[in-house]
Amino acid sequence: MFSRSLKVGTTTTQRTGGDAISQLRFHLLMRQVPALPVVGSFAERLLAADLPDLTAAKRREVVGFIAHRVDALPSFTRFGVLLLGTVFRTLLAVPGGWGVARLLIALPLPLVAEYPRLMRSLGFAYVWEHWPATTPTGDVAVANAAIGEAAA
Amino acid sequence: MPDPQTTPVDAAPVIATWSAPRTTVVTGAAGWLGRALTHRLLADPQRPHLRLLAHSTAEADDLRRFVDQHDAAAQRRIDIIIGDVARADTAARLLYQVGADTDVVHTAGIIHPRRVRQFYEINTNGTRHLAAAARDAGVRRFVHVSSNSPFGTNPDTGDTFRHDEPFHPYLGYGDSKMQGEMAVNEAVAAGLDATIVRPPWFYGPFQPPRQTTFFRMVRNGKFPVIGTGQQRRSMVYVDNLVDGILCAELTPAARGKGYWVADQRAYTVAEIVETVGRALVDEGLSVKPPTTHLPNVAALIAEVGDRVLQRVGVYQQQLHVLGEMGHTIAVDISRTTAEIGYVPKVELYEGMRRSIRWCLDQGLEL
Amino acid sequence: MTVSPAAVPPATVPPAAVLRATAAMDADVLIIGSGAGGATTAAVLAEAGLDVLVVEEGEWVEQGALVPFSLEQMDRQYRAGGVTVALGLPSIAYTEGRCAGGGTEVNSGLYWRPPGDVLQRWREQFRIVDFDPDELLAIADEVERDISVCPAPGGYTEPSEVLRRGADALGWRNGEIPRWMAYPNDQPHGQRQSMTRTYLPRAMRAGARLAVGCRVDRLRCGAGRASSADTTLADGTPGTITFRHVFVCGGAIQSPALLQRSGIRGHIGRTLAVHPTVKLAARFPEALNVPDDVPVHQVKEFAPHLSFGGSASNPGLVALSLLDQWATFQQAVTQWQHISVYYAAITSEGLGRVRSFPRMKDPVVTYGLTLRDRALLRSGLARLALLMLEAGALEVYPSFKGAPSVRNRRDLATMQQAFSATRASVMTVHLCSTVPMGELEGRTGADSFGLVHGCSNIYVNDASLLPTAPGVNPQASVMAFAIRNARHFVASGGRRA
Repeated sequence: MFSRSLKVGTTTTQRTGGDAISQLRFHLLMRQVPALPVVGSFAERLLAADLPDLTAAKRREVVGFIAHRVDALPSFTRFGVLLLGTVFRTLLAVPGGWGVARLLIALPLPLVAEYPRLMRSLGFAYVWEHWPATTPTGDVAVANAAIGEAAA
Repeated sequence: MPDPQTTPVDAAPVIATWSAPRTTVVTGAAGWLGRALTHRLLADPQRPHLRLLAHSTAEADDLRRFVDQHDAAAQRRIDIIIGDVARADTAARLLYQVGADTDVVHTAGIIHPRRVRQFYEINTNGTRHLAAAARDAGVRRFVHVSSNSPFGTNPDTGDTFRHDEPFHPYLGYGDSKMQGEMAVNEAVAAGLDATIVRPPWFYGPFQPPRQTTFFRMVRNGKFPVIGTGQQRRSMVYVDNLVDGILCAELTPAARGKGYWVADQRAYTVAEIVETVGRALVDEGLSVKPPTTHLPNVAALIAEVGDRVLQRVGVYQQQLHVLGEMGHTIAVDISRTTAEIGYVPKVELYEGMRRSIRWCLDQGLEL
Repeated sequence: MTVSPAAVPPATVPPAAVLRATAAMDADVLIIGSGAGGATTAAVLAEAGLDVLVVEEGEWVEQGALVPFSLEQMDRQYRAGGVTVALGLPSIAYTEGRCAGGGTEVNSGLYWRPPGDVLQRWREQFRIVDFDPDELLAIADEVERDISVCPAPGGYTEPSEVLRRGADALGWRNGEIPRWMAYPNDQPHGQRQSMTRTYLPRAMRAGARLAVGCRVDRLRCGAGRASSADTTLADGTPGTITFRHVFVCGGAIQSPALLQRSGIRGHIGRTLAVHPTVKLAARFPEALNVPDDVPVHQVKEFAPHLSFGGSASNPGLVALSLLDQWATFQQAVTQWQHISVYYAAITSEGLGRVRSFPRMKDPVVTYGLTLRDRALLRSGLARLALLMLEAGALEVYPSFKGAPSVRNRRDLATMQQAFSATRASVMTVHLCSTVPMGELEGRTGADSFGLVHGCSNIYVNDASLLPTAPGVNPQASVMAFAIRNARHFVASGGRRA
């Protein structure tokens, strides 16, 4: 019926056909575009507007976390986020672009509205998990300790 | 105020009740429910004094004729007050010097108006005026007849409204009735002793002529069944409703509470149509098999149309009824039974037979 | 064989060394995924004497090494850091475990047996043959012993008491849900008896190998038979595993995606079923927040279509729950110790899809809610808010854009008026039914024991098989079905029934 044997050997099977190779190349290509330069500036502006009292250093830390998470997104979502990220980044580069961006994200546009929402969700979750006593304007009090650190 | 007495109720825990008051005030007395209630009150020798509110002179004359058909009317003191419930002074006149040994049953309301604002004038403001006047008059118990509409429709065909539910008014009627309930609750906070009764769709004797359309539609196989008719509907036979109102009136512990009053269980629309058809046949009338099956989307379109019209202040009855037909409205009466001793005595088939017989006795053509 | 020990876990577990996957491996039976489905399958097959290799994409993380529900845990034990979404209007956020033990390691651990009527319905509607619900419930008995399903000793946390108190005040049915937890010396904080502490060590003791850091990209198939799997190792290098039989146990998203990538057609990935949930945060006069545990009470008054329970509520998650209406809710975040987060979950009549596209590593997941689903989410959220008021909440913050804060019954009407599912944060953790089991043609992806239709040695044995969402936490059903199917595989010698 079944053979109960531990197979020992070092056979490496060659992948056949170009399909797997091109797939691998595609993924490398995708992963070669890191999220930080694409979403970083927008995330930073958004956080600065939402949490004006968050120090620049802390804000950079949060933006780093956001970019790290965007990098880990499933391929299709990541692709969409980077696409929207590019649009918003371009928008921020032109004068008055931030105003237009704010208008855009206030509109109930499907998918588009989810981009700032993702940035905010990740950012807020990070801020309050790490510095629970942060005020709604982002003022991180001195006595703050991460819940995680305290519990661990 | 009479002392609460202790009366056992079938199989339910012992519930303390009051005896009937000296004066019983009924608003909307000329209406469908009002007549059914008045009919019952007139049969009760413990109710020496009835004060009934009619909307107009014509309605008052009609009501007087209705009262005089009852032999007992001669032994009772019956005042018929004429007034518009929407006006503050009507409530004051209605409750003028009634005394503390008085219960008020507020059945007046409007369900199919011409304009949406009438909902608020009558169902909300009327209730507010009356509840305030009842509090000022120091009556024993104020029973407010509300509806399922402040709670909207069930979100799923298998869902049943429990005793306590969050408000979610269904369009203008529901909103006006919700605000009516809130006005009662405010008066309770200010000292009024009130209980709210919430009947769903009711049926039975004393129905207005327009309701014969319902039987006629079923007879002709034209009652609009949405989809497969699996939506559930709680209904209440009008005599069951009167029982429920009297339980709410006479149970001291019901102060400040609201109760569903319905038949024992909810019926599917398909079952309602089938049962009414059977009742019609058993009363000797011919019935065509149901043919009017509409897709779910028909009810949805009707509901959207109803919403749009009501937003601009227009109420269209057919559209409203059709829109609501796509929904389940089912309520759970177990707390009503447990806390005020209400036990529905008549179920759908028997209730429908009685309704049909009543219509035929009145010479109405079905 | 070239397998090397992975990062050494603490001495207590695992009983056998966890392996690092290598470029070339083989086994009689390959099991892809080590969660509720894969771990139980591995234990049954290994204990029957078969040569079993379990591969897991994620890492082995010792229970207790990470703070439950923390971002770090999400990073290390969830797929994509927990940021996965089924696209739609609204999009529905979901999470998948991606670690040794899968979802059992990171979820609430609440255990619900499959309801008897649901099992009957599945058997009849999907024509599951040789299926005796009583037999499955007998397996559930075993599972409950194996993973130590038990109630919490001593008292409940205050957020759990809130559910009980509010439901009792309304006369709504509620109760404690037992968990797969051990409570040494009746400690209030239990130790999750997840797969890494139960079925995986058991499988390894019986000779099964567990290799972590190994993603299976596709199965090489011909004429309905698979012979090898292409893999990607943790360092990005490719590998291959050869086998005679393969059990795909990657969960309801990854399993159909792998089958699709492998070119397997049929009813695969077309009927994703979930329990969509909406949330609210409730603020109380007293401090009650428990950052690292969830309430054990659930309110089942409106079951199966509607259930209420408690969510993880660390300050980060409290901030998240206020995010949709931050402009008016933001002040509440300063009182996170007084806040706990709760959910209303529904059974959905909507349907989702899992689709894999060429050259794309991950599948695209979509989900559509019906009008009835939306009404039910609205009603559920309102009823839950009512329960919170009855439990003594000072203020309730529903998680949707445009939400009013709720302090009284009038606000409940305003809230329902303002609610729109499209503007709500809808999420789910229960994913199933993407390869439904049974013999009903056109509606099932695998036979009555999980053998993929049209294939002779490819099995699915995880939440994908459940014909519909069961209306309760599904992992008990997953484990019981996986054990049933694995036993059948052993008894039948891997031949089609």
